[in-house]
Amino acid sequence: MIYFLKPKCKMHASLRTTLLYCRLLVCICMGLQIVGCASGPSFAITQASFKPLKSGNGRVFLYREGLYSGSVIHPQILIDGKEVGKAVPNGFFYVDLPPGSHLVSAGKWQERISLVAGELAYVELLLKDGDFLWSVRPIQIDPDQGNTIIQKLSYTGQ
Amino acid sequence: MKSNYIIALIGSMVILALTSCAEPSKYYQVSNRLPQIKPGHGRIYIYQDEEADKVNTGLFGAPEIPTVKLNGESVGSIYGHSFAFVDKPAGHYEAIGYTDILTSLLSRKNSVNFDLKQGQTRFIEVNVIGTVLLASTELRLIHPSQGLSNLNNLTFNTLSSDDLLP
Repeated sequence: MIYFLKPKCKMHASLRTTLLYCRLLVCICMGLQIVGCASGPSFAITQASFKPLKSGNGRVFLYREGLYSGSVIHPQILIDGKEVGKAVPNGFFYVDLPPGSHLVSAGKWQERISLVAGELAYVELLLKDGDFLWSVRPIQIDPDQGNTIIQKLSYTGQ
Repeated sequence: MKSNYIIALIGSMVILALTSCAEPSKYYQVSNRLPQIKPGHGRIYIYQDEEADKVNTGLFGAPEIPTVKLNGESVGSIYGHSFAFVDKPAGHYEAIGYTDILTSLLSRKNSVNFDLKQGQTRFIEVNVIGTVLLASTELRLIHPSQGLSNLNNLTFNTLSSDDLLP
């Protein structure tokens, strides 16, 4: 370390500059990661403000876990061809739908989910690393597990 | 005479090639042969949806085959694009997936806890998340309708549950 801190050597100064740029780059990357993640209120806080579920409908919670991997990527999520929100890391949102089968799409991934009247369904938007690009794959999770996971995520709004 | 030998040789090679290329058993092909769930038991399907060559990367890209344990008892290895199942008495279970000790320590989502009721079927999806150096195993408890739909094109994992097929 002392070798790097010698002030008068030109070569060492350039190394210090390189190190400084590296640190700056790391800080920018970390900043981007933090900016890319959901920072809204938690499920426990927002739960009371959720609109009541209309009779005959079901509610689908869509969520994405993780903080760092691919956090600047926020793919659009479509249900039955209509945009309903974005997959923001560490965040969730919900959509009320009539019972039946619905097609959840996120880029190249498509999954058909089933919904029963009055049911709370949970769809995880799982980040997948492709050959060149990140993508998210929707998976309908068991309600017990989905309900546990969603408690620690932030509400991103609809 | 010589040409007869050549024809016989080619014929036997073709037969050998065809028999060795037999299609492995998919879920939709074996589902009607699966045994009934015993009274007091439930069924747990464990599967890996991804193709083995896409995500199973471990140390320097080496293939990683996750092993799954139920309440500490090994179920077997779950290969890419395949499924296995076990019938267990009703109760509470913890499923843990791992490839090796190091990756198990690093993985945050390598276990799921669930209750298994009599006659119930549960679906656990195993994902191997690969990085440059390490692969971590993630387990998810999948909704029954999606789990069943995901199984359809997966290959029966003969190495882990061959003895269960009649």
